[in-house]
Amino acid sequence: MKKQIRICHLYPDILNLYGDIGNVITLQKRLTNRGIDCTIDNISVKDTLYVENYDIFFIGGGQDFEQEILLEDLLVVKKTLIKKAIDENKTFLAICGGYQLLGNYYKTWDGTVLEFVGALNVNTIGDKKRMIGDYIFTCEDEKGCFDVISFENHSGKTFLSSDVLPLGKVITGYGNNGQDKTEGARYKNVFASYGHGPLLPKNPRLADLIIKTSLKEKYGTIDLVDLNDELEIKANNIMLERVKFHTKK
Amino acid sequence: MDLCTDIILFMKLNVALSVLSCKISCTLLRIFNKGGTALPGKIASFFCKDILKYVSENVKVILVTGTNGKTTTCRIIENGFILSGLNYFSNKSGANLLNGVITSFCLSSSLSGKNHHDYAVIECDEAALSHVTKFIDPEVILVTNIFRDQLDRYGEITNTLNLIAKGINNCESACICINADCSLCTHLLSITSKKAILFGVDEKIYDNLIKEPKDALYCIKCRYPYTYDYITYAHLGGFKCENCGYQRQNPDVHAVGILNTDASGSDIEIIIRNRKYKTRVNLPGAHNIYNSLAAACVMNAIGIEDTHILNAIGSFESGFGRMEEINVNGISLSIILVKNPAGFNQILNYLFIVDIKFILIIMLNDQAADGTDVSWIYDVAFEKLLDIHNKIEHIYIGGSRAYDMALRLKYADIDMSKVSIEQNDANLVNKALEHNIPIYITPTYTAMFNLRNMLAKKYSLKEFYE
Repeated sequence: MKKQIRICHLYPDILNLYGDIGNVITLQKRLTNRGIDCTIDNISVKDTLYVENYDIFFIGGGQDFEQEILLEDLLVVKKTLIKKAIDENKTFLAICGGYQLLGNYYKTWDGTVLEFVGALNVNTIGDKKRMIGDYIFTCEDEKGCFDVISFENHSGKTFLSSDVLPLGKVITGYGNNGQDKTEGARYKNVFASYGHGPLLPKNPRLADLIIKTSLKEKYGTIDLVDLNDELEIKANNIMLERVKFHTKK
Repeated sequence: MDLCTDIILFMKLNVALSVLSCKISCTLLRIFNKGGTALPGKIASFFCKDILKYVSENVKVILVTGTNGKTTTCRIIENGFILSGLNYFSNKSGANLLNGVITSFCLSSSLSGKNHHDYAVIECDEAALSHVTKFIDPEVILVTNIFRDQLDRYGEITNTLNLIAKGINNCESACICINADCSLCTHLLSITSKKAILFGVDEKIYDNLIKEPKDALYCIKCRYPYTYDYITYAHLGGFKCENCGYQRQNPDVHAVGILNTDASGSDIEIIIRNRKYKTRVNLPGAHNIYNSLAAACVMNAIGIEDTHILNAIGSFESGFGRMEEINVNGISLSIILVKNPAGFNQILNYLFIVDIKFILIIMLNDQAADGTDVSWIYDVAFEKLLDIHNKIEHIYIGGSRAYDMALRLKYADIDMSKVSIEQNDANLVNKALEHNIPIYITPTYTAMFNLRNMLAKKYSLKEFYE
């Protein structure tokens, strides 16, 4: 039987900071190019969420104004559903603001505490200084370590509790908080990162790691054929070289 | 009397030193072929920190700000000024921050600090507006539109709004011209409690509109989703909030009918304060209808006659990478600057109405002026190119982030056998010219400068030397 992965894009009309859709497109193409069906459903404010209908959930970043729009819907209606989905080992990719929203709370720089979903045991503290720029972190799959290149732009500093692993180790740039060299979070089948915008197109190994995670959960077996990633790897390597060289100077 | 005031002013040695230093440094920079416009202004402020106040005295200043369309709108206004014989000067698009504005004013002043122009048409960066209006009390402030733009530079869109509001609030008597179709723009009126002249388009422009992420889906006042009677493009159109009642107001200068849109311009029915005309907008695309209406609004505000306004719109020819058409070895080459998703999506809308086979060149750089984060290309609906793939002979990609751009096209399912990467500008244009058909080039800001320099040198295009 033909395999199928169903993606749920949470709040796509609101959490759509530069290029977030690129990650969803990448997951879809890398699935369909391997003959695996992929559907994408957009679920936003007031839409009913049936978590059992999906295999991968994507939640992106938004501007503060926009995040306020969805907060009520998220915390009153969808919070328990999202927690349930994570407990049931559904695969998640959360980027930047979406990553912060899955955490326990966000404390603004002037001391206001915003309670969030609490599905990830991480806390975010707002800072006046923004952490902006190209950055590199290492990630690990079954074959070993690999470099991920992306762009971060956040003022929140996120700190992980001991039951949450980082997604990677920062090589150059800030990552979670600019202090402990951690980047993003890994918990059950949740992948979270500050690599805002299109993290996945240029980092095909990370994209495939997420795809494999969801396939393994759903079908128990993984048999991903290799794709022609010449262009992806070239785009990745050029920026790796540039950012590493630039930082050395 | 005039001489007398000149003498008194001249005694203000710091003013004279300031203007002189600005003029000298500008000349030196030009001799050494460094086209800097910011440094001379900085030097001028070193000698006299409120120099801008002196050199703008008695000049009626038009400040043009907003995310997209600033340069084109300024040039249309200038066209109207020329037609009506007004004595004015303007700044170049590269000089739209505080220091650049200071430079432009100093260069057009005498050493005494007296400016002999009646008007100034000044393009002003959104973030720089409040700095400029600290020294200048303008006659008119125009806000063209507000879109999401280079988050690494401006931060959130509400931040941009606040910066513009701050700039407007510095002004006592300025007439505010504002886009009625932009819910973010008209919100400025309530946060600044100013009255305004509004411009807008009363109906949809394209039948087949590109789907793009909207920057203003939810009411800026109460966060309820807007409903639209029609959308012209992006979030512009007949918006209404059913919850709090915030809605589009009727504009004073508006297009009531879009009669025709083609690859070289549009025919519209325009109303200028209840007087209705048919006119040609001599630049293609919905965004240029807006630029023309914005310019008409400003020209009306300062009392230019309708006939000159209509002529200004109808005879305007673009320049400096804004739908700028040049001829290289008999082949038409159109340069269209791209800065953000809203602008690029407009270019795609435009390419839909081009009715010939063409070559597309995309040049993506990531310097500070381009935006160091290139992820915005994923918010451009390149998937739409699939619908016009028969018209596109080949796509060439250049710029420092060419591979990111190519990857974007790959994930948009574009046939990659029709896509080539060439990071050397001269080779890029050469290869494109070999096809012997019209070329559309969409460069980001710094890519456009490099491209123009290359074209100027290689094809001796004198008009390209600034």
